[in-house]
Amino acid sequence: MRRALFALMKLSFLEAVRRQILHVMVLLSLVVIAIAGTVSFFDLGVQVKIVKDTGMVMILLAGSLSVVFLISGALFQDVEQRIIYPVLARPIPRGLYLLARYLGALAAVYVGMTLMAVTLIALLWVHLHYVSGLAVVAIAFTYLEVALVGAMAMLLSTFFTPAMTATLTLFLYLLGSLKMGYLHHLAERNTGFAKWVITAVSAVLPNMEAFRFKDALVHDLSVPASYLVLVAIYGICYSATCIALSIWHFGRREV
Amino acid sequence: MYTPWAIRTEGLTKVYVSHKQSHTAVRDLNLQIADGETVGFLGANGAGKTTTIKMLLHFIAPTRGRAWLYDVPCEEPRARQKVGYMPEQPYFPRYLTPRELLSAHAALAGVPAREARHRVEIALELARADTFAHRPLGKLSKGMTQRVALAQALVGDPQLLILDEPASGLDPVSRVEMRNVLQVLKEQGKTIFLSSHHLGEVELICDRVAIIHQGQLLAFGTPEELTQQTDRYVLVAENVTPDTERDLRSLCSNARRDGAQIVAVVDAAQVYEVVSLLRQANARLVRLVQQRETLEEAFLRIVQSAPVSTLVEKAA
Repeated sequence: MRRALFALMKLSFLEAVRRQILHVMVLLSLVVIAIAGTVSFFDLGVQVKIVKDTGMVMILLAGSLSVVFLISGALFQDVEQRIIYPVLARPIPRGLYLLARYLGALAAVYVGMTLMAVTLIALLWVHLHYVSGLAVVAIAFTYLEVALVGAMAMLLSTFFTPAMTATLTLFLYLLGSLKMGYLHHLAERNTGFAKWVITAVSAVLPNMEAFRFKDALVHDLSVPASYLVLVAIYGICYSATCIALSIWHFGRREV
Repeated sequence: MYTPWAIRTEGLTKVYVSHKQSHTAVRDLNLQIADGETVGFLGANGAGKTTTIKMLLHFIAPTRGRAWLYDVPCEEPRARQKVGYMPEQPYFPRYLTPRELLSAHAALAGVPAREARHRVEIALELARADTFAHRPLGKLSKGMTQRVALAQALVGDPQLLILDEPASGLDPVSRVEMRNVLQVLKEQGKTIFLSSHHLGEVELICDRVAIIHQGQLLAFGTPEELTQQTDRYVLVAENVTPDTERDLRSLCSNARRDGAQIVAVVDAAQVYEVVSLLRQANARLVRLVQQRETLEEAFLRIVQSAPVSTLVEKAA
């Protein structure tokens, strides 16, 4: 089964790395990061802050958009083009196929994100002659956030067309990026059904803000390790739940 | 010794419901196909052939009834352990080469890593796809892609081959080559479930034939069982003079010369007259046998005599 998973992941990866959307996203982000790091209009302290800020935003933006567009159409396209039939005729559970499709596309996005991350770290090294541990942690949590966005896209893609999946994923992503504090505050100010709905929405929506350590990195703040562990567990569990639901739904779907 | 059926279905039914109407694509299908048999699955477009195959491979779930492959319920992935499937009009990732595609499918079929490369080469060779195994699939012709699809089905060395229109869109030469490959597989003892429109090919290689029409199985048997004697006779004669040949042609226009012999298909009502003509002309009657239907004729007879049913009903 492990060989089958890797074989399918390889196919998914090879397909994803050929997609133009990934090339464009990675290239644009690299250009923006490089410009932020090389054009010096500011004193060193400000420039480093701008490099960190721009670099983290570009890694997150390019990674999230790439993963949404790569995963949104993957299943739909496989079914429409009937590429899926010879694969599902093999003695493998459908869930394995879906998991491999997700992991393969995610791996391709990670390759692009790694290029950006290496560029960012190299620029920080050039300016500061050292790289803080928090930079690596912040980048790692961006990877986790992108994995979560991809898992949401995969779940939605088992229900909707690619355009609808991409739109809904981005919508949920934006909602999840709202400060969760606002929602809690809103829940406290309401009563009855409205309070219940707001509480339910805030519980179901992914808390994207939790994964973002850009501000801590830019302002050289420290983050408690226990908090990092909690966020990591939250991200992994949320992504795993999305993938499990995708597998459950796709297993019952007719192709 | 107990030998399981390669394919067994009991009351297999698929009903599609859309816009408050239900359409029965397959109705109460009962099939039992033994290991090592080659079975042709015949039907017009929309008869329910592909739907049946989709249910056997669990791409879609039956509305009613059940199906088993080698005694394993179709809904279980291990039911497909011994299966090689070639879809109708196959599509594969365009950027892969046939060899890369087959390597992936070898892994999916559970072929051990140390055997995979060998199996890939055997499958490519058997399907005659080895000469273009290094070219991207997006650059192959339809016939080449069909051969790759067959190689893909064969790479796991399956005992049961489910082939959905394998000769669809192929030129006559490629069709003959495909038939030859199927003949080789049959001689190897593989079970072949062949959905096809090409009745001549089915007649040549299949042990039994199932005819499905509007979702219902109308007939299932050997070609001999399905075809009937006709009221026509095949006549072969020698020492026929040109004058007698002319007279013969006036009685049966299909008479043709085959070397020293004359071959004609004669209606039963004319047999006595033709034989008398040949006797008077001192020609030698070599053979006179009652003609059987071709499978195509039997198929048309069976399908046309089936009760008309739209199979579209108001959904309850």
